Amino acid sequence: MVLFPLVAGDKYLFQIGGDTGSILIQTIYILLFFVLIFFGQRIQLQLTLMELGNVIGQLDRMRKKGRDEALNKLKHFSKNDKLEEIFNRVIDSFVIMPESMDPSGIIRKLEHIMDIRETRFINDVKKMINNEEVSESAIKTMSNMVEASMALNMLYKIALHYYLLAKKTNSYFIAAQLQMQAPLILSFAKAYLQAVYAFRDGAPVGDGIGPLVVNKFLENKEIVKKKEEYVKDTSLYEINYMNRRIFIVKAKGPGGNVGKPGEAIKKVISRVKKEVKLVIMIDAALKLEGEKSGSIAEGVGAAIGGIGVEKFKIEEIVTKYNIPLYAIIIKMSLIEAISIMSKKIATVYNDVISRIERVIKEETKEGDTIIVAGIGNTVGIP
Amino acid sequence: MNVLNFLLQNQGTQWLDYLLIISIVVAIFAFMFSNRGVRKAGYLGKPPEIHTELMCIECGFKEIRKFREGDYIGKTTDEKCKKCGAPVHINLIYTLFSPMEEKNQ
Ligand SMILES: [Zn+2]
Repeated sequence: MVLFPLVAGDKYLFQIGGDTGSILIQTIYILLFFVLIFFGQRIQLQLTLMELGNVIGQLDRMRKKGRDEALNKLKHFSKNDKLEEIFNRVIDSFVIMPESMDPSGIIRKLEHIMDIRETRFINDVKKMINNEEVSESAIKTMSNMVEASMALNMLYKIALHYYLLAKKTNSYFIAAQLQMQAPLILSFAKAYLQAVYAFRDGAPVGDGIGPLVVNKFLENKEIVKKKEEYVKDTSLYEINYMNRRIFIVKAKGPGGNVGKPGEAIKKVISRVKKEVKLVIMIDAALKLEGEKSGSIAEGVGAAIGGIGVEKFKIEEIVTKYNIPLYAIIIKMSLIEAISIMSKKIATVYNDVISRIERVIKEETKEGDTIIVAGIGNTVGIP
Repeated sequence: MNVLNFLLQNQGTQWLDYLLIISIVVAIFAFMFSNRGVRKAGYLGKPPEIHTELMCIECGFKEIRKFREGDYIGKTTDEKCKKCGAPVHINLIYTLFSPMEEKNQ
């Protein structure tokens, strides 16, 4: 029995017998050739747009999910009927960056603008909740959650803009630009959705490793002085350890908050001046693909992210008084930095603390004054 | 069996070749659209399971339970140490896997 009749006889696959048949097939091939030459890019555009449509759909669903989670959490505490109205207004709010054509003094302007933004944002979240019983730290954490939801919304809107622009102008190159960025945009969106979950629950995020390390460093040590609100949202502790005077700076927890560590370091140094012999900063840093999450590295310089205001202040003051600035970083991916801290990252604190002690021993003498700053978001870490 | 008989009877004729070409095209389209459906289901990132590690203040005995709202690191909870009955505090809060790893499992 012949199972493949098409190749079995004297007639082979696609070699259609008869003159009419072969001419027909040849015509089809030639036509196809020209169609692909003249319309190839159009076809490519349609295929790309189809793929981007999926990306947009995914972003849309993630945005809606983030929004729903955030709104549900707020509704749980809220006593305001107009919650959703305010939420919609806040989610579309924006910040206009100061003009940089004449850059002198821009840092101060930038700080001012960001301070206003934060105050306004917190006030809006307070208005949404309108409940006296909810603590300040819970409000800070919830405002972080709303910010993550805002970021998701922004990603969706930007991606949609380029998608619709490509569709409208029939431009393959606009579509291709978005297609190139799509995997990164999706991974950012995943990270922000995870951030919504983390701040909803109020559990520590990966970025909180800096504050966690200094929190553990303080554990079981006698605290000489403690100022909860040394500068805005930032705490200062003073301990005597290894016969040295050590100031510890971290944002005020356990609400979600990064504080103003730069301002705090500046204030301490301006107060005790030349006495400070070393500043050590501990922060989470983005790893390269291929590097291990939770691996530690040491270096020099100001280990701090954000828009650069705090970094500027620290660099300025340590330069003025000629103080060495050391950095210890804990590496992680973006998604790990803003989602709930994984065990791999959380358990490195002992290792970091022993490195801090080693650096202090190597670089300073007994009786010296040292500043140790844990940089990062303090959600879940007092 | 009918299909096989049909193929055998029409063996070597032109239109069977056309049928093959058409079915290949249909199969390609079907594949493209089915693939699309799978990707549409995509990512919604379920919230991870959070663990709270409690540590006894007296003897250092560690115990892990599910995270509860209001937990934060260093908080002294109402729970008692299972070994010696002393109060416990929260040592760490973490997930076992980061969100990216969970996808690979
Ligand atoms: Zn015990």
